[in-house]
Amino acid sequence: MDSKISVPLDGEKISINSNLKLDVPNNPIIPYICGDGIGSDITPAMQAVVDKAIIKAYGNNKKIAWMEVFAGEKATAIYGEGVYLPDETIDALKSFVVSIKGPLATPVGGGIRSLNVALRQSLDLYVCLRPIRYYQGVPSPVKNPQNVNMVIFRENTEDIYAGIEYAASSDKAKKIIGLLDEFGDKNKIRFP
Amino acid sequence: MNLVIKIKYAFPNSAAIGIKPVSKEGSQRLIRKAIEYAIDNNRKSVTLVHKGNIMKFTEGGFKEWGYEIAKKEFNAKVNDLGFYEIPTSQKIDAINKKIVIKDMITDAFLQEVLLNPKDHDVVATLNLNGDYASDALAAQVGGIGISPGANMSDGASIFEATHGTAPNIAGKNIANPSSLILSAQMMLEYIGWTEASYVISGAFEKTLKENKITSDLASQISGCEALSTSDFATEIIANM
Repeated sequence: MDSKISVPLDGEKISINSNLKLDVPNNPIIPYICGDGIGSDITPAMQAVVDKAIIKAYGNNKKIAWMEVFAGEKATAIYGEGVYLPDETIDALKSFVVSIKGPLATPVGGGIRSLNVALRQSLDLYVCLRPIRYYQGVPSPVKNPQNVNMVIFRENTEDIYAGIEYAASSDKAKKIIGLLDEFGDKNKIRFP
Repeated sequence: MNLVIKIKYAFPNSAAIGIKPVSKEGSQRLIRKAIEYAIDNNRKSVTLVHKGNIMKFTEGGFKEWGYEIAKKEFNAKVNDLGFYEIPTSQKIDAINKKIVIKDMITDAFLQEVLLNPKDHDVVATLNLNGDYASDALAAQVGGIGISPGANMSDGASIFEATHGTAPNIAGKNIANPSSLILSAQMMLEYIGWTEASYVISGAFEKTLKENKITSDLASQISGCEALSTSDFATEIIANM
């Protein structure tokens, strides 16, 4: 199938060098996923702010070459029914290194649990980074919200989120319980 | 799963079962990133948040492997007060001479961030704890809908809005774009375009201070008139 992504001619790729650091050209191509719902409202607003900030900081010496890639509803309209996360989107996110995305809805029905989870798994995005700080003017429920200035690194691939879970009374759950019985741990399960 | 009460009777065949894999490699690559970030960004401490008092091998492992990597790869040593510290002297522009590595049980951490939030800086934690903690902290600063985020690996990184798709207001030009704008600001910092990143954070702060904001927040402030999505962006640009 022909590519639906048009690579900007006035941009260059960001790459990762041998020290695992980024090599960033002055005109990096940055893929963006518009996102579902309000994604098409907020994405142009974000791009306008970013483009202007870059001009403010560097004049015409630096500029982002935005490249739209598709996921969610928009992808199904372009690639066909059920294609929420096209392979070439994943390839582009991987090969252009740094990208940005709006919110994605979880498809109703079908095999995909969540597009965000699928992205995390296929790109091995093991860090979920969430800086938390207060901005004056924002209504907050606490007395001194300005005292919060934290950066949370949340592990993103393991723990009970790995998706190894078996329904009550399912064959697999019963097999695991059988194994616990062998270990002598079955009695730790309290309720029927 | 974690009940350890020994009982004589059990009817376990109908229990649902969930498995919690936590590996040394998986924990250490996350904690390594957190420590590197703390060093690069002149932060004061890294708190390992875990529930190792109950889940000794999974969450307890996370803590142990965290201290292990701090010692092995970052030369952490115990100070007079019994805390592990990483020297930052090899870094030319280091503001803090040491970065403290500490740990805290998750429930105590969730109390502490309300009572003594200044005691915590960079936080490294497991998936479920991190899910709870990041949303609780976002609410604490009024940040639901404006907090930025990123998902990162050793290769690709995706910066992203942390909120949902809000289909009921989609296409109306009233949604708050702050989460995505602040994520873009993080992205600029990540690619080393620090000056442009500062331009955004400064203009964003100024715009919010003037109570120029979209309806989600304006409706919580008396006498505050809501801006549209695009007008809010225009206002940020005007404040650069």
